[in-house]
Amino acid sequence: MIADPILEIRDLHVGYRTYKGFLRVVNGVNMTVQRAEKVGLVGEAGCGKTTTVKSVGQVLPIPPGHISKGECFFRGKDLLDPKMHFARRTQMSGLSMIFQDPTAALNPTFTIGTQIVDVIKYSRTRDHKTPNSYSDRDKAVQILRDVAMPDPARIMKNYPIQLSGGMRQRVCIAISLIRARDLLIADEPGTSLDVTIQDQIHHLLQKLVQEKGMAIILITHSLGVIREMVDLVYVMYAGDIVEAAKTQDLFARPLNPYTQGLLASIPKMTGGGIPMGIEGRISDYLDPPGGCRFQPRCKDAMPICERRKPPLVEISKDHWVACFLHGGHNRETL
Amino acid sequence: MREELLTIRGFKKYFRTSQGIVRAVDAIDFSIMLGETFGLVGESGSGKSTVAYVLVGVYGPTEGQLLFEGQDIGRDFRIRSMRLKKDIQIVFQDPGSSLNPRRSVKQIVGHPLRMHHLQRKKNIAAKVAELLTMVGLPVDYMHKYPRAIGGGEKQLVAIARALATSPSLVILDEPTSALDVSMQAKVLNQLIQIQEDLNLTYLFITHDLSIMRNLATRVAIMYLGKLEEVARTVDFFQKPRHPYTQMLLSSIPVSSEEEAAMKPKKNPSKGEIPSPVNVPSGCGFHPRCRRKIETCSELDPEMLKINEEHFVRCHLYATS
Repeated sequence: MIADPILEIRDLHVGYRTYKGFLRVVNGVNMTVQRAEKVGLVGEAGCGKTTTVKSVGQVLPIPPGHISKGECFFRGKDLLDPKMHFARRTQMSGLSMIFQDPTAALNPTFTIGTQIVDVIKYSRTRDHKTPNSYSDRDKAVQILRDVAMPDPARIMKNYPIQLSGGMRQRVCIAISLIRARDLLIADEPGTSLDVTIQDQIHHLLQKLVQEKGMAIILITHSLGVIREMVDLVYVMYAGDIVEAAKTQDLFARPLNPYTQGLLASIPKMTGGGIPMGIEGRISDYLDPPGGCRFQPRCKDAMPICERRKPPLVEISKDHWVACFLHGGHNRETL
Repeated sequence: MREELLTIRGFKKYFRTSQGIVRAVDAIDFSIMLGETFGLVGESGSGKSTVAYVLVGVYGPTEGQLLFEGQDIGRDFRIRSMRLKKDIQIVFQDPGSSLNPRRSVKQIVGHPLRMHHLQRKKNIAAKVAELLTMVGLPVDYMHKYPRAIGGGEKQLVAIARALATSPSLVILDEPTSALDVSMQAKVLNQLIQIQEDLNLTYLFITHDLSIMRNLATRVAIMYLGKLEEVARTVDFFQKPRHPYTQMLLSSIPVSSEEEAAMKPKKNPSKGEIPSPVNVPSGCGFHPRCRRKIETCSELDPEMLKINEEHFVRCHLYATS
């Protein structure tokens, strides 16, 4: 890989301790995000996308969450190193997150203005680079203006409940941009919104990220959004990265049977009927299938798939697949 | 022309709130033919669910005629006949909250059978099994509880419950928006199959236009309680007339080149749907419209006929 990755996740294992037993959700994820790169993470609901980024963003509830193994280098420092004090870890952050549900992310009892100003104040005490030439309130208004909020001065006095979903998400984006300089993690930012509003939010994110030269990890279950927004896609299934490729390459030549199934499941605007979808559903994390986790649902499953977990191998430049069908695995020796 | 199953004329539903009158549905006309899938599309807050709720009788309309098989059904559930309740069934958006968590699948699906005295007590289990098979679920799901089954399967149970009374019109209120693509495909296929087998009529409410493209025979776009465009699906996607339709189509994220090519390009999304308490003057869409002319803010356009099956409510087509 090229030098200077902003984020590097190595062999991350995350699970949840429940009364039923240990749920092994994230199962050895490797991911690299370069500076100013737009990366997408896509997969079905419950495949571990959010768990992965929550571990990175230090917001995974522990317990029940448990990071059993793995490293996560952000600007060269391991975020998961237990020796690093939590406050210091967040302090050196420069990383922020946007969540799926803006209503839950904002405090309903404070005005938008208070919430933004609080974050500005908090980040200044730790981060001396933030200019202090004008007041925090003015800065908050400016930030709201940056996210194309109509009438920011009035919005400052409003409570979250007085805003529409799209507006609330804009506020969340505004807050997240106060501190983010290097990496923004957007966890399904448009999913709870209408298509037209989703479109606006995505355009806004794209514009801001471009202007500030930030890297972004966009999590979504919509392949359409992925195709229009990002440069590099990671496809995730049941806690494993099953395919990673440049966006165009992935849509033109999906290799993993799961990616193919996912792509084929989307109803097309050009017609052609409702597709069949992938058989079965995501496996139980309490007792995940051995070998490849997709194998029970896979139409091309081979005996080897039950025994061994396929490694992520590079098929062509920047196109990685974890599947025994590809990558020159000799079928006889397997 | 095929037989009309449902005809709606001048249908209005207003709600009184402390902030003023909410015009959830404001004078709409449409009709649904026997055996077709009529798609109703709109953003949240456009009033599409209100249409569904009035049709099943959650509340009565404020004004207007709702004719189902020629009979006026414009009254709420308290004075609705059992026969009518049996004939119009609904599947709600979120199966997690529309299924009683303390009832087994057998009880849930068997409930309408008991209510409508459709089966003798001893035959209910057999009928439930038949319904579950019809929606593609294994028969042993009968003894499970909603929490033990996945989201898509819960939705299939809700569909089985709706089908229990062998209705002629099924209203599907965003049945797949809580589901993943692969599960969505499965549920939709099951719905198509059932429709073919039983010759059902669907009123399909959704905000996902790519589903509409593949499922609906006709599509209607709703905005602020009014219909903006009604057309056959093919015309609707190939020749969208209303600026709002064009905006909607251009904002769908698509997954292939061919689809991207057919999207209307020049119409990026702008603004948000206004509150139905405070509706803009003239055409409700004019503050967001990129092609607005002077008349738009003054006069609410009439529904215009473009051709036999294509109607649009926009001043741009008034003269042509």
